[in-house]
Amino acid sequence: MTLTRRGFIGGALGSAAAAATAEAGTVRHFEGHPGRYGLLHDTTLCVGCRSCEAACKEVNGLPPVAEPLDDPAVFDSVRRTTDTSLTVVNRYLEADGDRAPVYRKLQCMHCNEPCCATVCPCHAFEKTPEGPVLYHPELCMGCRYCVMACPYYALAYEYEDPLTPKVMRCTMCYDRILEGKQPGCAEACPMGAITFGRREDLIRVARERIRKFPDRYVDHIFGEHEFGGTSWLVLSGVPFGQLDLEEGLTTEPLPAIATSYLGVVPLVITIYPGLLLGMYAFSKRREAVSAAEREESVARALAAAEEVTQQKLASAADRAAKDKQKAIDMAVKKALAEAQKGGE
Amino acid sequence: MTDVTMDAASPTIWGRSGLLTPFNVIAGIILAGGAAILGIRFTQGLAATTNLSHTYPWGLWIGFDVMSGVALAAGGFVTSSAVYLFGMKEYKPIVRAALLTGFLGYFLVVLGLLADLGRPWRLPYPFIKSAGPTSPLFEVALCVALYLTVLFIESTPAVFEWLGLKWWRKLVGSMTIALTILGLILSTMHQSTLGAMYMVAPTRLHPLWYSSHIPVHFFVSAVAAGLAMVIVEGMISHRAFHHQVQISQDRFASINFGLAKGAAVTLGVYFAIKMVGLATEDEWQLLATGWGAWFLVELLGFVLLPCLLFTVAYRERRLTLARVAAVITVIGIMLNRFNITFVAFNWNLPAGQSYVPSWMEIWVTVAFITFAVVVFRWIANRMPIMYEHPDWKGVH
Amino acid sequence: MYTLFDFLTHTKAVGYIVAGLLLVSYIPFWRFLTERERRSAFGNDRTPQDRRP
Repeated sequence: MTLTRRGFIGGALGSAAAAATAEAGTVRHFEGHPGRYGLLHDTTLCVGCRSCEAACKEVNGLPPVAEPLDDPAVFDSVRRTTDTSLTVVNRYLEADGDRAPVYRKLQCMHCNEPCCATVCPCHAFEKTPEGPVLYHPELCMGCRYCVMACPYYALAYEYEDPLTPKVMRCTMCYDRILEGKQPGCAEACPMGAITFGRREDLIRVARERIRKFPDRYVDHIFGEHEFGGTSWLVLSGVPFGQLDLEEGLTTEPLPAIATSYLGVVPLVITIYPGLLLGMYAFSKRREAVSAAEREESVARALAAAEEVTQQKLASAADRAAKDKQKAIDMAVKKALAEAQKGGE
Repeated sequence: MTDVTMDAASPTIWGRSGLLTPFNVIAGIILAGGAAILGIRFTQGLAATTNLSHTYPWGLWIGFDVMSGVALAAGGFVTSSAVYLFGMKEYKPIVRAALLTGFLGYFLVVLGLLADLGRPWRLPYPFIKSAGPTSPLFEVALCVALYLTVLFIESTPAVFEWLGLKWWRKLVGSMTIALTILGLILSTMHQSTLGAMYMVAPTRLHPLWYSSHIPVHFFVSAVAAGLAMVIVEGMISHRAFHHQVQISQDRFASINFGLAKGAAVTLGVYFAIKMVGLATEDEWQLLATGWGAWFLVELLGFVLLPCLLFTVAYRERRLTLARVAAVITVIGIMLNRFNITFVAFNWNLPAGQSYVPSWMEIWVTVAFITFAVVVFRWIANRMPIMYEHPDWKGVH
Repeated sequence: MYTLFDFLTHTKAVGYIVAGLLLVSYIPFWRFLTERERRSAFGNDRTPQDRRP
């Protein structure tokens, strides 16, 4: 496998050729880069010495561990990763009879389908072919959506830095992997609780351990399938829920869930203009129809009024004519009567 | 508020009583304090000013300024679509104020983002340097940038009428329908995608608030919030600028009853789809938990109650009741966005890690709102916002 | 293409570009579609006001 850093700008164009050869993506399962690396944390071997914490600080050039490594008080509270501690070991169960205390190491899980990368509006993350998820601070605007999105609470932010804050997280010691070395924590672990290797090999190793010691392990490898799988794999002797790892998670990659709605967006852009112009035309037409109706009813009212007026006029004329006739008749009658009187 | 009225009566630069009105003094103190806190934020970092943590990367500035601000500014697209696309001409007297409120609301969103982002000067990076099209936030950023421009253009007719630039006024008037359609497209997209931003957190956001329908919940509640906000804004501005208002009290009241009717139906739909969400994801049994009680407070007290109040207010023509319902709705939307952003977020982490905003975060938020109010007042005192310019009566 | 993330990056980018171009091309399409009805409705007396889509 060639260990070259993949370009992260122009991903859309660069992947066009690959897309041309692939079948349609809707029902496709993506296996991830073949032969990529991962780490296996066997919590049944972990004794909580925190050598990994110290080594992580050293190889990443971070201030050394604040609490002394041999101070058991540090386990009284559950800690999380911060911008200066990229990995921490917590004690989840105290010693109980035969069983030793149970510890688990926290750090970025380097998801097969990273949701930090999916939600980044600046495309500041990449999933390298070697396995590590890398963050490029030179592209980051500091929205912290990645910190909010991570289901493993693994990302931290430099809130103290006023002008150039960065997201801080485990890099799986990408540079050391390129040099052919192991990540700092795996090299430092005195108990062999952290195994570095190709992910597919690690899954085989983990299965083999479960097969050989069925009483020692829960029959599950956390990270094999959860949310599409992670590069870090965890073996446990107690139910994973007791290690603050959620049980029964879907195997669907979280990025698929997170982006499922975005498919609607191009539909809104392309359907709305036609739909809304239709509604606009509808309201315009309703307006025109009601205007025409108004005109028509006005016309009808006018016509009716006209008719009434005509009738009134006609009857008035009629009456006038009758009155005239009556007056004439009266005058004639009167004249006749006077003539008669004169004739007598 | 009495002082604002006096200013409205004499639209000189500083108002009748000069620079030192009580309104100006209080606003000045709030703004100066906000500027000082932002000074601390950009010299000593977010840690010195906010209670944000690695577990709660988003706090009040996102939960209020962005999430609530965008929802409450929805009145702009709702009223302009009603008037220009659906032919409801009777609402025309309130469109300008709603659009201006919308523009200032989105301006506030950008201000909030500039304070909250780690490196705010990189805000244009998604468009000029490195695009992340898989991110719901990329979609929101794209839409907000475009919609802010649309709202700005939609608000310019008042400026052109004020300055007497007839050619420009005619030009923007001719773009009314296109801009309204574009505004409705962009609003539908980003109002819903703001909800879709939380679809990435099915384990971190409490299942009662998390839903595969959350984009629809956000869109519908934003329409209700927009309508309620138009009523609230009218309640304040018609008192403050009553000298400018040309329409009669009766006509203004009947506009408000129309808005109340719309809000009643929208809140009813919102209540219904929230119930559908419970059924779809089979979360009925969660209602019996402590989180369920809090969820019911939000759903019954701040969705169903205002829905019923709006219904009664519309049936019985009670303006005050409609205004009470509008205020409850506005508070309810903020409560919902707060619940989703930081109250019901990380619900399964041990108690004692929860986020409570610092006084400086609250102060800066109040300062941003004050800034928007001051700008609204400055514009409404000068430009034809609350009334129609005599030269442009009845024109788009 | 090995990961869903790369696939999504590619398809969402193309989706935005395609939808954006179609949205813009809607304007000339609408103007062409309604050209004659507008001409007959307004005659030669056309102001910018009448040139709405």
